[in-house]
Amino acid sequence: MKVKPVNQSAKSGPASPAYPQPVLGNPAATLMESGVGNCFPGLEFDLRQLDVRFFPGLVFAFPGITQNGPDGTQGAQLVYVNTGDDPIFLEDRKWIHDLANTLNGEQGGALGGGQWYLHWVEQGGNRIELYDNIIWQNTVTKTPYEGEIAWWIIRLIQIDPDPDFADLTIALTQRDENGQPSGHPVVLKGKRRAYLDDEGMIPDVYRPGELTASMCSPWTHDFRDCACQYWASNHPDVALGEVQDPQQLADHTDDLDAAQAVTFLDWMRRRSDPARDIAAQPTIELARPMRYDPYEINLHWEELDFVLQGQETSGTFKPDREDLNEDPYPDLAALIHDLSHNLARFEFSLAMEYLYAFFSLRAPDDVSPEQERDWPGLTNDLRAARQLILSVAISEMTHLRWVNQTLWTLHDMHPGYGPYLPVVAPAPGVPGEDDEIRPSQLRIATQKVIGEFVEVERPGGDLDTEYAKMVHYMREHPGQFPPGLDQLAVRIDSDGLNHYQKFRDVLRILDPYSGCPDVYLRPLTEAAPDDPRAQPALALLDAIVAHLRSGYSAEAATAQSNAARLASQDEITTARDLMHQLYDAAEVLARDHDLGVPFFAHAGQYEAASRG
Amino acid sequence: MMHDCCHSGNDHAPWCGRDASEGRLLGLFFDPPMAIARVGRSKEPMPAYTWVVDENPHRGVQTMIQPAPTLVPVSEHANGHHPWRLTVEHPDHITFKDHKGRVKPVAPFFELWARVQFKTGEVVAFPVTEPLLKTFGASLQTLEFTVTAANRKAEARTGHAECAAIARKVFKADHYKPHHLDAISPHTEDQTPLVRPDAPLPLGKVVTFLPNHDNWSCQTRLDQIRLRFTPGKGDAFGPPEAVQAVASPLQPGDFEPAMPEYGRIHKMTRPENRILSSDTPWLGYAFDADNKPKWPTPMDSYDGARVGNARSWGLIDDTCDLLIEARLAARGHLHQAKARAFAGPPDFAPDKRPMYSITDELEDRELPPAELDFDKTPTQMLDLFRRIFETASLMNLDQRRAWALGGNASILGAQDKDDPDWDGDMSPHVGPKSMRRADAPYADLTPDYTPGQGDTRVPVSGEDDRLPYTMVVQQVHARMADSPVLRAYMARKPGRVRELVRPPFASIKELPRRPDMTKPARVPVGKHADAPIPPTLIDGEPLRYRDPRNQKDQTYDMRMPPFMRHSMGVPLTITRRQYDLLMAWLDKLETDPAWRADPVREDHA
Repeated sequence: MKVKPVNQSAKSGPASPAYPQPVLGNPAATLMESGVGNCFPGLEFDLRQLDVRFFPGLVFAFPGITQNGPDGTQGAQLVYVNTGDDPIFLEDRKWIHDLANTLNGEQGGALGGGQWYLHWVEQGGNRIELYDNIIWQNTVTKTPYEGEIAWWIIRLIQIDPDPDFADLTIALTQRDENGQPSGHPVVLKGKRRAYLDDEGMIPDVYRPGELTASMCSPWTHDFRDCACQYWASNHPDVALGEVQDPQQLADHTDDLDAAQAVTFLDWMRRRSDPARDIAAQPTIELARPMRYDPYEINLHWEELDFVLQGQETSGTFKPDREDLNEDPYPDLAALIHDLSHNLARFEFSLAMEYLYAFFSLRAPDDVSPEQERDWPGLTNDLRAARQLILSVAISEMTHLRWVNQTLWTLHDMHPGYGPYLPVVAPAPGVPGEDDEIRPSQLRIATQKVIGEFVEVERPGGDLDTEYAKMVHYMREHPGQFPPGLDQLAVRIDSDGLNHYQKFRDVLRILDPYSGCPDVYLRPLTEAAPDDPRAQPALALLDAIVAHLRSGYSAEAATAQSNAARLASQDEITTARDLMHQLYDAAEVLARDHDLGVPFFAHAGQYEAASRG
Repeated sequence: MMHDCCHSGNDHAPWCGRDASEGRLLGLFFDPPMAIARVGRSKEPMPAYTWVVDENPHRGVQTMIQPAPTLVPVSEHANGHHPWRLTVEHPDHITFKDHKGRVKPVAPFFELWARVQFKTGEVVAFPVTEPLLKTFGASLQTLEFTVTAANRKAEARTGHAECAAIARKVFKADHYKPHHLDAISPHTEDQTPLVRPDAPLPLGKVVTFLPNHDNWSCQTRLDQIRLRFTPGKGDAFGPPEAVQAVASPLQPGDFEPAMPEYGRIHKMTRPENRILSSDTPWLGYAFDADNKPKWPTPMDSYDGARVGNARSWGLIDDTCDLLIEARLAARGHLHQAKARAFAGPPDFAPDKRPMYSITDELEDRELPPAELDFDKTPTQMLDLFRRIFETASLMNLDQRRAWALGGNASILGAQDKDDPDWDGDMSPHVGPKSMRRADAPYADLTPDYTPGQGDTRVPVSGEDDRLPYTMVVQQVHARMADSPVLRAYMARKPGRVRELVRPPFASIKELPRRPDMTKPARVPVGKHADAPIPPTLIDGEPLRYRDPRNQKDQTYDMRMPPFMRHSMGVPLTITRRQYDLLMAWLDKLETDPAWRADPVREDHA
């Protein structure tokens, strides 16, 4: 686009795309980058209105069809012809002179009588008709496309950068009472209009008010009534509530926690409704009764909340408290050692602990009608708790990959630390309560165990500060890292908050059943390593670890060869397929035999491989 | 008047220290050439803020807003009235509403600049100030502004000019009072104007400011001539009849038949805003009155359209779009500059950027295909995926999916939209199997994360399930906002990305003449590859652009962006420009190891 800020600049780099900068005094919400570009009809203005004047001298409309179906008047209707009020005809170009002569001559005169429609457009030798051909009793009839399709065809015309090159031909015809094109076409040669002038403005042939003429009236009508819901950037569908969430547990959290509400709320909900803090609904029909009504919103739209970082709020957050006062690593070697000897292993161990807990929960399908009658909501609660725990377990597996990615990146950049060795093995212990290392162990999802998971993931806890420390070091020593690498540690750190919230939610969801654990827990015991029933699962786990190791090794070399890229793709894909099989095997083992997979049974073998 | 610049940095503006009198005036322009204003009822305008990357590791790599230097008008005579002089304040905190809960309007400034050409041929942009005008033999009195604002919503539907609302103000640059954009309807003697001159529609105001020479800096020119447009309050206006009415209890897009109505009763306008004329075609307008299709679409986009006989309540609002023109006579030449503003709704999630913005759409229409560039392309793609996350993070995917799949069933004539098999073996699935395991190869991660969900259109959930699909989209896309994750994923699974991203429509040159006979152009997979790559096959066919005339291309499936709506109600895609660049980038990531390598820090290059 031709918009060029003249008094501001912003640096861009491979890890940090530049943000467009508004002029002094303007909020970013004044920028065209803040407005939505997909329009039916839009929020700030309707970009479809540009196409109303796509061909110089002509003005079109794009009526669709009514509920009664096509009536033959739909499509691209010519509204009027006027060369007098179109500044483009002041430009000195041959095609413009020729077009003006045509429009001011006999053909243009013809367009002044009766209703004309766009019949076809031709560009690059390709002619596209705005009619659908239907064969009926060996006769071809033409059905005009409705305005929506006609508009899209116009929208797909491209502009040639040479302003002297007339590369677009169009034809207009009238229609008979059956909607069939009739009479001699008027054929015009020209060019699609440029929608920005040399200064980066939509040209003034679009009169004030034209670009918003098709917007809803009043604007609040669209803000509430539009079925599109496609503007979540300016008009959220869902948001988290403010920190004072009614579902927040009294589990000695306090305002200093980086805690936030965990419930998605329907942003358009009526703020005076008793259900205003109830979770958002999965369908529009269910949500509708709790939302502002038509008309009502005209006087109540200012009750809608602003949303920052996904959370409803009255304003920007206060400056962050400084919590990076941990001692950073003494040097890069210490950081690499921490990654390979602690963090990668913690992630592996936690993933297995969480998976074990997941399989210890009864599956929703296991709940009998009688149990559901006695414990209303049990099925849904189990489904919710399982999804939350599984998502955290998958996330930990992803972290394992990211720690390895950080390692192979650092070994590649600093060969003096030796070759990269994939670390896919559990740690003997993981951070527990009061930041003490406790043994890695496989336990069923009792409230006590879930509570310990909360503690592991608690913001400010040992695991959380490990990554914050790493980010701090990376930012303090940028020369030791490629740009953007700190984003991996940032992502793991921020996921930790997410895990913490999810486990708190699991605690809350399962709390009503905590007096009768049999209701929601399987009587799971860890299978003996040599139990034949566990062997298929263990074999799958062994294979997964092996393929992950091969995949990470290949990926570490991906910048050297295409063969390595292909190998990494195959290895990781295989590992993921095996994970699906392991899921099924573990579920059968738990459901049919009350046995849990002894995920740490071959820890020594994985550890040996990780040490090379 | 010459000043010493007090800016201490090295990034002085190009004109700083230059003498404009040594050049000639080529022309004027506004910066920005277009800006969005946003309505609000507060008297306090929204402070300035910019987008920055959040540095807090606990919150992840994401965009946040940061308070920016804010221009605050100070009454010259300390009486709260004009003229005003601007000062700069540096807020450390922004609130979006005032103490009465009223939304602060976004009121953009427009700076006036001059292009000056020196005898070397160099052209430099200078801020237009009173001394600069004098340099070129002009003055504030010879600089005139014309601001024309209009709301044509009612006119567009009725086809009657007397239903438009237009304001036009002409004033000199030193006329510092607020110029209220009080709109009236154009009409002739025998027509009834919708907006009468004695009760105009307040579309906002424009103001210019006294120069401020304090703390003169090339980064903060407060002696530069600026206009500020403050939009209307966001109010609805109507005729005296538009008092209160029964609202349709149905969901958006649904109609209530002309039968008794059971919705809630609401007031629709403030009493003081019932100032429009009753005797116009707008009150009582009905989009379906003659069964003729109409433009603009959607046709039911006005208050009153959804109930009974679909008659309009005659409401319009105080939003508008406007043209600002500056005209300057200097040494026998007339110089002009123009800018546009649009008054729209508040940006209620100001730290989230649209994945498909106005800029994206304009660039897609106006610019040639983006060039593949080793340094720039990864950054452009990262920016795109960050914006995708930002939009997706506030989306209720569960609702969108249920809505879109229900719509597919309607389009394709399914008897039971919840029958998991109604779409047979279509691929991608467009029924309840969409985004489920059976929707391979498209569905992959989502079924992993949602093991408890079956092949249902509406998610199986209770009050504690939250929104299962919504949770997944947030988790998956957050990580794509990180540079190393994005690059590694794209490099590892280029074929999957090609399958998963919905292709945009083909251009006119690439569409088949007959949609049922031949197919649109192929996506040029491999065009930028340095080695042969396996073809991406969809149902055994090579990947192709889509055709707006093809019914299947109008149905919703899980391809990205999933279940979202594009202009004119078809499935959303990223722009053609973005898509082609993404495909080109995948070619390189798949076949050129150098593109997969970690970027090199600039100071180590």
